[in-house]
Amino acid sequence: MLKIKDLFVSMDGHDILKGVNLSLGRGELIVILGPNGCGKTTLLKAIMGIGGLKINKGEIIFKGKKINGLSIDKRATMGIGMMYQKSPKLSGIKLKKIVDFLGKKANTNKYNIDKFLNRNVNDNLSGGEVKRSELFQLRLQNPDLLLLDEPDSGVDIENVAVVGKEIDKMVKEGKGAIVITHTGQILNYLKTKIAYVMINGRIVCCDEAKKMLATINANGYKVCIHCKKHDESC
Amino acid sequence: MVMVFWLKIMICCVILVDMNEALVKFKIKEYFWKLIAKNKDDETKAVAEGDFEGYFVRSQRDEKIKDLIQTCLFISKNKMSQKVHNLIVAEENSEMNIITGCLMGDEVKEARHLGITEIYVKKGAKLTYTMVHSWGNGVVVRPKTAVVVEEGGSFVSNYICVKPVGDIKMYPKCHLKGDNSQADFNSFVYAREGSKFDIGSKIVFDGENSSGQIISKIVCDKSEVTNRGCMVGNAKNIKAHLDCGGLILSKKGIIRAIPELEANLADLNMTHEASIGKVSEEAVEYLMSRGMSEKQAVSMIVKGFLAVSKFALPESVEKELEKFNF
Repeated sequence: MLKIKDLFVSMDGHDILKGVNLSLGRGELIVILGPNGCGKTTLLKAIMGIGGLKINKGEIIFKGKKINGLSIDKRATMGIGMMYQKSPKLSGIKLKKIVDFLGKKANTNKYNIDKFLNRNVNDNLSGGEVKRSELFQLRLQNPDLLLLDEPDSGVDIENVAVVGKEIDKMVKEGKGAIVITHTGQILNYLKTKIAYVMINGRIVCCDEAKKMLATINANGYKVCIHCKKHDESC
Repeated sequence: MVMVFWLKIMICCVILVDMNEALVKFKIKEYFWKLIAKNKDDETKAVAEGDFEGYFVRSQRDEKIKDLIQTCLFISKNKMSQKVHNLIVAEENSEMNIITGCLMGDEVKEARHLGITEIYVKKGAKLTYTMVHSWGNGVVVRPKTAVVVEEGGSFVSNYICVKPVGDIKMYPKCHLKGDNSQADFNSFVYAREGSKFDIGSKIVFDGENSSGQIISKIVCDKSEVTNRGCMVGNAKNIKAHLDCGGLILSKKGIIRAIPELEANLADLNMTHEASIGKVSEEAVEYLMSRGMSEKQAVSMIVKGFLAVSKFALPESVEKELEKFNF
């Protein structure tokens, strides 16, 4: 479903991604780990087409079509959806407006979202509430590829469970997902196998997700920097 | 010819008639040209010295009028100069909700509107006055409005303009004369290409414990908008707030926000905030990532910025704005 080939991306003249290769099929979920500023969020933004990024080299292929340069809404229409790490507050725009635009019905009770429908999008919500709202919108959007940027950050344990179980369910339904996490809490609810480590704009290592996280928690990312595995082997 | 339309109604609780007719039939000279000087400027003189049309609206004391009172000023022919003098009196403890639409015929390319409106809100009365402008690029608009609010009275002005206009200057003034009186001026302007706005409001607080706010939401697209707001505090315990918000859609758009607060004693509370910015790219991208086109996303953001729903606009106006394609 998704193939990323030798992707080089910069922003404002600064090189951020320096040759990323990645592939993802339907019903697969991969986790991306890495220190702050390594390029994880930039990778998701480059796939979604947001953030004023410049692709200097490489290809992003989704459903067999090269999507470099395609507008954000066309990518969304093709089946790419994103849960943001920092969702912008939309002043004066009620969540109901986006729901009406998406024009589909979803079970609001499941996300305990009814009370937010007539409130401004992402305004005066807790971390967990924002993630539930994001997940609810993604459910309505029903994309084939989920880009999930830190779905467990700033979220209490109960909300991590809600979010994690729902992501797992969507993957079981056949969607592909890329998940960025720092804490790894979300992994408790995901049946993922593989985690990739990104350092300085490149994927440098991969391994079974929980094992990888345990190693990083014990030794930090320096162990990945000196890892003998290269992205070609992942 | 210049036309002024309204329904002539004289029922138990409200009078709505032609201004010239009202001057003959009713003892209203105590109100006529009392809030605005005839020689204020050339435009005012032109209305004072020539023929004019207009409407007179008066609620009866203690009557709470639930129905919306509608008036309409219409310029029907090209190159006409419309001269209007309106008078509104909300009698003691009455309530009225008036909406005025100003528009022109399709064949009108150039025209001039000169308007005088004097408004009296008596003790304990509540008046909501909504004006919707729908002019064209060749129209020069010069409305002059003055309001006086007595003890415990409340005046709410809603001004809406989302269609092009050639050149408009408008600076209504409200005198909060009585204690515990209140005035709100809410303006929603989408300044279309080629339009020139010099608009604003002024509230003078002379009544103790009186309160007022001026809220302006300006969206500017290849046009020029000067947005003024002035509040003068002359009495104890007044509460005044001024908020000028501007959203610029085009590099060729200009917004000048000129907020002014004058406090003439210490025991009062006056605040203001002004902000001007462009449409947030982050917000546009967020909405586009949900599948909206860029145009749909910007339109939703503009509507959100104007956020008319939190103001007490007539339902019909709110629904029209909701449908409007920004």
